[in-house]
Amino acid sequence: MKDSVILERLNKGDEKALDYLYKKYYRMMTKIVLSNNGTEEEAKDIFQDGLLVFWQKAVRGDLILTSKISTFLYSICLNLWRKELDRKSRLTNEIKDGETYQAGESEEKVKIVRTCIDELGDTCRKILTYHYFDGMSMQDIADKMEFANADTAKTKKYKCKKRLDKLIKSKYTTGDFFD
Amino acid sequence: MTNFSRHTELIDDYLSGGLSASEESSFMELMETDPILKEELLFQQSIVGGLKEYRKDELKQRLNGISVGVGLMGFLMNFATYKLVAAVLTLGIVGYGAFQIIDNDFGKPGSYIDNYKESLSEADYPSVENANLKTTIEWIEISNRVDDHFKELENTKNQIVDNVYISKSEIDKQEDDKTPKLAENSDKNSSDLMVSKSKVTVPAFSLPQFDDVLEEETLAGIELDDYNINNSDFTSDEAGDEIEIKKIQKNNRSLQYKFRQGKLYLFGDFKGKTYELLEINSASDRKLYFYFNKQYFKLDQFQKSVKDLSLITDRRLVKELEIIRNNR
Repeated sequence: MKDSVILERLNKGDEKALDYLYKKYYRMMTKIVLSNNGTEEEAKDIFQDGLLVFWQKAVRGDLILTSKISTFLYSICLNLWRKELDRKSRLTNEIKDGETYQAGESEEKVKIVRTCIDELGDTCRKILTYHYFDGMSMQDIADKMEFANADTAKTKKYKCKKRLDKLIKSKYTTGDFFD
Repeated sequence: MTNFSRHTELIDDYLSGGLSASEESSFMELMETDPILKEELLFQQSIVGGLKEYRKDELKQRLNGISVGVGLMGFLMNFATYKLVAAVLTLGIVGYGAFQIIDNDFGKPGSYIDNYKESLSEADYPSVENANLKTTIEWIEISNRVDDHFKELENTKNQIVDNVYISKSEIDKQEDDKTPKLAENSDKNSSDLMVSKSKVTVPAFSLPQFDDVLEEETLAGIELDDYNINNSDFTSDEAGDEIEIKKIQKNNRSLQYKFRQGKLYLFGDFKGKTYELLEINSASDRKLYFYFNKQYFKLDQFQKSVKDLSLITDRRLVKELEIIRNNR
């Protein structure tokens, strides 16, 4: 499959194109980590993160490829691994210096939101995640979800978001959420 | 549109990156002056953060479900696999070659090694003469096989087999001659692998410390697998000075020993690593030292009860022992 075709499919939020890239470049990209003191698990994580960064850029349409997809992916993964090594090094130094590591402060909040997302219907969940993570346009969401048009998608998104806000607020007090 | 819904829309645009630079700037100013808006922004940030995490996990799960099975090229490119195959092939070739040499040179019937050799197939009999092997895998293979064989002997004879005796000078002689000879221990229990310095029957192959192997240093010298044969050093040339060693596997952290009827009993977990017994004889004295894991220990041959190995910390003595051990 040509890069231009892949990019076109990615732009429409075609997840099968993502699968294709994952399978095609798995060995090549994980090797970056494996040959630089990383484990198989870390290598997989970095490649997945890198591929998802690429996915987001492609779906949002703010990606102009001046090189091959593999080259672009390679540089993303390399940067991510460098950052991870840097993070690990800082963490080690902090532990050495006796600084206590505080596990993600927002983790609890994310957990609360996740529980409520689970309670949303499939359609709402998809619209919201497509919009906020993938950065999909309303038109693309409409196409993907087979809505009449972008306005329908926009209205649905608005309603779904409001429902989620309400759900969270009904289940948890502001104090729980903002401690 | 109410103030609140206008705010919500503004926040949503801000979080989706839909505001222009000037819009973003005025939004930030507004937020600083409006605590309710600020609180709402924090709330919305958490929700959007949660949604992003949710989708990311979903996509990652999808990717995890994809088989990235390695094809032929991938298999060949897999360095670890390549190394393993290369190591096994090398072991096979070297082992076979060494067996041929031993078969020609040591074929005295009735000897221990002859019997031992007969009980193993050619491929199972790993002997290498002055080989500089660089892979751990090979040594694990060798030691495992030899270990397995000796375990069989243990079961049949109820006797641990790791009696050891070999002189450094004899090893050197072997290195020179490259023709190791077969020992005849007809007066000994056949399950004891006693290697007399005057009748050394050691197939010469180098046994590295596994740490060293990992560092891929060149392996040199002749040592034997501690499962069956160990090095001792600086003995007289007379037979009869042999110190039998009986190793008893224990999982305790410290290494211990005792002497009983001239036999050295070792207790502990040697983790398959080589150890050496150094014996320094003078006209009136006999000193025993034990070398293991890059450390030297002093042995008291009159120690009757089980005691921890006593580490030598005297630098001068360690240096001397180092020289003696390396026969420099």
